[in-house]
Amino acid sequence: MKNKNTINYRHLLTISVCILLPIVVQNKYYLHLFNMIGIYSLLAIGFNILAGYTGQISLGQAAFYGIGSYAAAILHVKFNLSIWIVLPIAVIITCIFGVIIAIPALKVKGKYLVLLTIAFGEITRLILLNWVGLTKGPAGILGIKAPTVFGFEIDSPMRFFYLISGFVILGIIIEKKIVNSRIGRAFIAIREDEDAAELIGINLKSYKIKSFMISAAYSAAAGVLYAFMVGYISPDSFRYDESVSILSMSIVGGFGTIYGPIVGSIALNVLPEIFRPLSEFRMVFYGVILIVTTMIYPGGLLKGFEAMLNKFQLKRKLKTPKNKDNILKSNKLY
Amino acid sequence: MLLQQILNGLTMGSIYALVAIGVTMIFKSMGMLNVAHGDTIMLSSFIAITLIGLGIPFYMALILTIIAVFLYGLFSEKFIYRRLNYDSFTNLLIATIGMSIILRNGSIAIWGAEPRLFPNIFSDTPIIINGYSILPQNIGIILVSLLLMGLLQVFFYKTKLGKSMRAASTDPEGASMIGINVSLTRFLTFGISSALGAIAGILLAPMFNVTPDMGAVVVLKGFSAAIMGGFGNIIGAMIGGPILGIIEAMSATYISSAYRDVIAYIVLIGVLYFKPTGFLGKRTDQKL
Repeated sequence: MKNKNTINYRHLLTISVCILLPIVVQNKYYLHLFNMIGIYSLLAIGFNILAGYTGQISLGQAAFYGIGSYAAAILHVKFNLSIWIVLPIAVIITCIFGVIIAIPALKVKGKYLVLLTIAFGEITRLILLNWVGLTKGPAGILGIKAPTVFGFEIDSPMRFFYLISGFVILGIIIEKKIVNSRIGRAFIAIREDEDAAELIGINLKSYKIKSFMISAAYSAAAGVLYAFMVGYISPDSFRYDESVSILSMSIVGGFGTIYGPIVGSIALNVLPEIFRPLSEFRMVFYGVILIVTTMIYPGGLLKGFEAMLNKFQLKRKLKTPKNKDNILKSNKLY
Repeated sequence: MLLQQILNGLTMGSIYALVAIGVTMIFKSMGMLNVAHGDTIMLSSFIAITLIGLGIPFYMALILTIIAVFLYGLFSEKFIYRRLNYDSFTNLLIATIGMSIILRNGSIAIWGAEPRLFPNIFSDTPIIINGYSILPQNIGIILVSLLLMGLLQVFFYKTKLGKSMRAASTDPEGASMIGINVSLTRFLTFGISSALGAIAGILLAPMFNVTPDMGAVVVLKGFSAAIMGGFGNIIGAMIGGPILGIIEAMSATYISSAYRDVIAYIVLIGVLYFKPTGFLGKRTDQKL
């Protein structure tokens, strides 16, 4: 019987695309765009595990993104530590904050949770902005040097593409393992009906905290990559708007699916570029598309594509996640 | 000095209360968090400035602005939010996010990102009482807010339309069974909420520069105020606003100006943790 984890032609195709893309597309601007798509993919996966699978909608992901990024940047600049040392430390620090926000979050649901996470996000941003002694305040942190991998210095968008792709692929593999495991099923149970989940013995507190920690870890990784890629970070990159973008990418791409966040990240990062000819009005169209997409594809683009492909009878074996989360249509969280 | 701070707190608090009522109405009625409400506030400021710039008399321009934004509210309910059938929290959230992006970027495209000045509605000369100097603006905003809240109370509790809107909010099915046009009440709820946003915008604009981003922070404070008072409860919103305003003013004076917002948010988290039903503590039918 074919193990769902075996490498099939779709994996090979994706990996080949990842290897060839920076060779085919030399344009630095586009490569930087792809790199941002990669970073947002990680952020969106993090959000998706927390919100799409566990049902804890958070508009504060920018906080984890920022904490991870700043932790890594501060350690790197102050102690001259390499990315491979600061990355795990930053992830751990951010996970601790994940637990901190999880504790009040355990008590609230639905829109109250959204507002709680907004508050958390804003508190984090304001602290990053005002604790000048630690974070240099609005000036931000400069001078983050290019990382090295096995002796290669990662100093060009092309090389970052490979680095980031590696992380994204790793992120997807981990996501798959989580979703298809006992933890994943517990998350989904919590999303669908907390009371019923508790009745069958799922420890709500424990799993919710885990969900927050996983989400924090993904966001922290994205933050670290971002810091080292751009070489400079400031509180401006971690505003409420970022949390909104992350949420949008995950939902529009396919809420509660494995690849949805990637699709969403691609779609919502490419869209503004397509609309660039419209100059000032391009973001207006972006907003319009956002609204229209949510009307036409309420389950997200991924599910919409699947429906379309089924309609046209294309027998490509689309990798639908085995754990039935795409037939659970309910998004009711209150 | 203390009195001055309290007064400032009450002033901002009154505006927060108006914003809070606006978002609470929509939340109660349709279960959605309208994050675009802040941009409604911003939109009204810009429309007002434009109308004034066209030479329309000041108070006429304000009234036209409120009407225009009211219509905008009706429009967005009928053509956008209604299409989503109000069944998916996340999709509604995305729709409001989309709306917010459209409004904010549309404003930048139409009016530019530069801050603009808004003329004072109330007179500039301070009133001197007992050696304290009070700006007419402070009194004016508080009075306008109280007046509006009073009108809303009368509307919602004494008029047939208001009562049916409350009924439709609390129990749409039951309301429609007794013949209330729930669709129409939702339609009007959006319109009234937006109109309240417009008034909040007009009151807010003279104090701060008018920029396309001005709505973002205010709407978060409005949500905070709504929660502090007990979200889903119009009276709670009316109380939460001044409470938030005073907490902010006190924090800015006695703790730190930079961390003023942090403290307000921490209080919010505290309220959510210890008393999720807000200071008013009304029991709701759903588990929080």
